[in-house]
Amino acid sequence: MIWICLALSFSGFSALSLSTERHHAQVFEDKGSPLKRQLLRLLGWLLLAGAVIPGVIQLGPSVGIALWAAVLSVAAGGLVILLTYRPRLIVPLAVAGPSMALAVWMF
Amino acid sequence: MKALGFRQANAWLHTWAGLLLGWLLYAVFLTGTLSFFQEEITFWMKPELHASVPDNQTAQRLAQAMQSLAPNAAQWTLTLPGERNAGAQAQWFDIGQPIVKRGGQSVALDAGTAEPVTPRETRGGGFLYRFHFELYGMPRVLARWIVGIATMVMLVAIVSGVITHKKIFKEFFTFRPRKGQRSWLDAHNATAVLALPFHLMITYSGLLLLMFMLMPWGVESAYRGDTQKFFNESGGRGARAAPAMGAGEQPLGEQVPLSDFAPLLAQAEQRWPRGVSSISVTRPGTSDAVIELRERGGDSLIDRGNSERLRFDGVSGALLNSPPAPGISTPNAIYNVFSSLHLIRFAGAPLRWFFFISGVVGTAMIATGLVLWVVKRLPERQKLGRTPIGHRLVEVLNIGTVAGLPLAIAAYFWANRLLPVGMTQRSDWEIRSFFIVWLLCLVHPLLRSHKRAWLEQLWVAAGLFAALPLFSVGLAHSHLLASLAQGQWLLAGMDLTLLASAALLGYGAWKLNRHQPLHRAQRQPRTVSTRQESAA
Repeated sequence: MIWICLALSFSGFSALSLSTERHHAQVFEDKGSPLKRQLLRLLGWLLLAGAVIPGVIQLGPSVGIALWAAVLSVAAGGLVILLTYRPRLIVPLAVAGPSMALAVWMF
Repeated sequence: MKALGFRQANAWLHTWAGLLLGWLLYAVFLTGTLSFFQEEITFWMKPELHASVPDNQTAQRLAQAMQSLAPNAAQWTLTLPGERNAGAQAQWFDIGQPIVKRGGQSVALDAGTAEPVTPRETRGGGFLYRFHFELYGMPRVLARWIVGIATMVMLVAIVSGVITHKKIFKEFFTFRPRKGQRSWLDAHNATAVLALPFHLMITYSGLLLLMFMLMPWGVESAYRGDTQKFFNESGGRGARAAPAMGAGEQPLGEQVPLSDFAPLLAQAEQRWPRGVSSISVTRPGTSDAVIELRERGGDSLIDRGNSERLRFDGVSGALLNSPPAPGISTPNAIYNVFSSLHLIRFAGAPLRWFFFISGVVGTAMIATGLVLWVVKRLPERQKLGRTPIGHRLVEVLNIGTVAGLPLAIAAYFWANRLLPVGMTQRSDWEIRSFFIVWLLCLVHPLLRSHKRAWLEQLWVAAGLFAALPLFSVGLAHSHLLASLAQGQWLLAGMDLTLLASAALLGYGAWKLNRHQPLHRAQRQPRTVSTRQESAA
């Protein structure tokens, strides 16, 4: 459950970072169309907000939100390091992460 | 133009509030972060307990042993080993002894053999925990005020920092390495903004906790000075009531045997997935003995400390009516949520690690802010052709705190390993070692050049941390490879963290050693467009 929260936060921050011209150009070749970046930004905020849900369901609102706050900083810290040194890994990780975490959680 | 003025005022506030209290906040944040693992640290600092390996017979074995260990007890309590402490603790009160929280006799027990163990005298992780909100060697109330004010300033610095940082969204994730001041500013921004929810939560909840200590007037006026009563009513943290038994009631000679513990423990384990945390027996050996089992820490923040209890007739083993869980009022529930958020009492190992990492990020935020102050003023200094005494002072304090405090913590751990076990005032000397080394670290940069001082302290700290697990190899039951092989993560985790700290400090020293201050020559004259850098 903690891993789903982490994976969703990471994907959320990834989408948010890709919604800026600078990081979009860093990861893809182009700067991205304004519409695409708007959608990425929306997706990012939705994922970040959604990341709180698994924790709240399983641990209740109080611990769930605390968990979320701590996980957010870890996910974002990881993303900053990847953006600086390994930007190509971000999209695969952001896509694969939540599904892997879900699989780990279910089995 | 008006908006600019506001932003600049905030930048000024952020710079000076951050600098003045930065060193203290760095110390509070670093020791506070370590406090997430204070029990683990304490266990590591008592190598005599490292042989203790709990198994599923431990609770029963220890309960049996209590009857020969404390035959005349009017009451005894066993704190069972958990995932954060592999040793057990027994406490008992002989007949006629007053029952107070730290009174009676107590002894550590080996979970595997139920034999008493005498661990070395140490304050362990508790010292670091106490230091992070009470400092040391000064009146508690004064220290708490100082830390409380610093925490307030931290909140102010966070908010003014966010206002100052005008490209907060655009540069959300940006880190540009090897660019001098730009990199420091990026690192400072990234560590601050990305962990913002954590920073706000931990400072605000910390402030709320201190508020109860610093501004007890609301409680005092409502309870007419009987603060103890407030805490009793709000959570029962006060002294326990003595068991209803006079010295004469003990039936001399004739001992009524206690019920077998195994079925009681089995009942409790079935009911509580987290298991039993402690066993208490009142009036053992009499016909009205009572056995009480307590559940291991609860899951919800709201009912902190109100874990469930089961009571049994001490002779027949029949289940008695359990004491009702006290109801919780709304303000109390709010206080509980915030204090538990800060203390992380509820958390399992993974969550604790996430908090720990967030705490390290927060510590890094303060450290980068302090370094940035110096880096940002290098051009000014070059133009001036000399180093103003104020700049030198900040440099010295930066080295002595940012590198010196980890070094002092390493010294604290080494003192724990090296001081003779039987020494008088042993735990005091551990703490003195900490402060002596820290003081040396504050003096040392005065005698060396800026870069040399950083390098030397970082290397020494890295070396000391790396050597600690190696020293433990020579102890009887603390070998890292053995604890890894046996899956004793309590010990292995601490040793691996020490190695990771050494690697981090060593990496910092290595980077610094290769660093050539080329950028100074290339620096562009500052323009209005670099206004944002005044955030530093």
